[in-house]
Amino acid sequence: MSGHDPIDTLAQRAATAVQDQARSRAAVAPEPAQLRAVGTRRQARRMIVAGIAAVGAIVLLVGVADRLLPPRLELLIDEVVGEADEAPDPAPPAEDDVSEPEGTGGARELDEAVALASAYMEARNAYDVEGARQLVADEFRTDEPPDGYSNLATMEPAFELVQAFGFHFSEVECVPLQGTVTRLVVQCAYLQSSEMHRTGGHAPTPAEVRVYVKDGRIAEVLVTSAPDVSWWGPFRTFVREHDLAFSQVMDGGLALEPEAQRELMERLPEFFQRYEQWLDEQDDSSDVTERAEQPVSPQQHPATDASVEGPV
Amino acid sequence: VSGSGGDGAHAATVPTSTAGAVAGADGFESFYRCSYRPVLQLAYVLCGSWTIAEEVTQEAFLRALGRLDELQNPEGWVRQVAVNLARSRLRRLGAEVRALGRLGARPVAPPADSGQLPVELDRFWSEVRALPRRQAQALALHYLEDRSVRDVAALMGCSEGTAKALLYQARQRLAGRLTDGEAIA
Repeated sequence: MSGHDPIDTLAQRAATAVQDQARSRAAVAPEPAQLRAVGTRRQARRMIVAGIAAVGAIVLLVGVADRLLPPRLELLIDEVVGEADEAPDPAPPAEDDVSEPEGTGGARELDEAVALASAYMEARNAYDVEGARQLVADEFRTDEPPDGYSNLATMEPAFELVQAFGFHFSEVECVPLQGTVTRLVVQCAYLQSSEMHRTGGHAPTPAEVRVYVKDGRIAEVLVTSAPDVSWWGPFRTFVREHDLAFSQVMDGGLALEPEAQRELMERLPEFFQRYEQWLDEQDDSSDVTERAEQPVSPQQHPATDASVEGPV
Repeated sequence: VSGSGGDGAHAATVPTSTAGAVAGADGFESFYRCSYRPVLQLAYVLCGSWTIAEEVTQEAFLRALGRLDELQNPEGWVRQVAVNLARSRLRRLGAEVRALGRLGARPVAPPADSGQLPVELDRFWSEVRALPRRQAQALALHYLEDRSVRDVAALMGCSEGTAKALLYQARQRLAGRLTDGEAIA
């Protein structure tokens, strides 16, 4: 393969760029001893699973298991196997396990990760950019709320937008979930409210994120709950049908150009007024339709109808 | 092993006695120290995310731990495991993104942190990732680790003829795509 070939030239430059980055990444790779510790714990879990399976087989053989034990046994095996497959290292060791070296995802690291995640959720809830910045890594990114990605550089405008839309958490609860060799994972469940909730008359809805912690900093916050159409659906329908420009701006997620963001922020109050009026109209027309066709059903929310049927 | 340049850190060219003595009889430590970076960069160019690459690289070494003596070709084995894990992880992420996309709330967003490479070079690796799997792997080994055809064949567990054909086909496809897009100056 000729070194003068343009593909070769480009490939060599591309390879050098990757090698440079890999060099700095590899410099902070876990030590072999850390991998060994993880391997030891994984082996122990495998032995536990094997033991449980053996006990299960014996129970089945004596003919009692089919009535009493399978559900419990299945759950137990699922739990342990799940940990072995998906979360090799950060599961807290037994209290009497003194073989755990520090810094490899032990109970203390998990506690710290949970505290870090809770602090981030608190800062985000207070729209405290500086507070949040101190908790996250340089390569931080998030897709919360689930409408586009933001990172450390765009955190400030993203928080502004989040505040403008009134996204707010309550009843935040963070628990250690799982992890890999390099990252700890914390799951934070919470109730979410927003201007869309309030305008549409919806109660706060459950949501959750996963917080990935690496080297004592938050690397990623990713939404793992499905979006709730009860409050989001009507709003999207309204936006799409009534203001294409606004819709396009919103489809840009949280990575807006400064001018687009300014425009969106300025228009938001008026926009929510129009949204409220539209919801009222939906309510009225829905009532008329319902009265004409069937007895009124108080359980049926007009905004939900609108998200399915659109404006009449 | 050619080891003539690049950033390969080929295991065969690196003394192992000191690290091996520290690590114990299985030589895992020297293997890990010599091969971590090449495996990491291979995983990265084939998946486009440093985060995933680091996870799968460490997982691959973890799986090699304790069975190093049993492996006929540990260098090739650990690379293949990392590549397979990266593909599996990407498939799962892709499925999640598509599922959320069907629900209508998340605009298309890349799961990968393709990151800080210049656009032209990032596009090169994107085109490599778009190649058939084994072609991409052969090409990445060839350029990233400066591997000869013989080394590529050994690492991929195929004949030299197959490796040569994979490299030829990969370069042909890549040239067509990059030339069409005028990526080559």
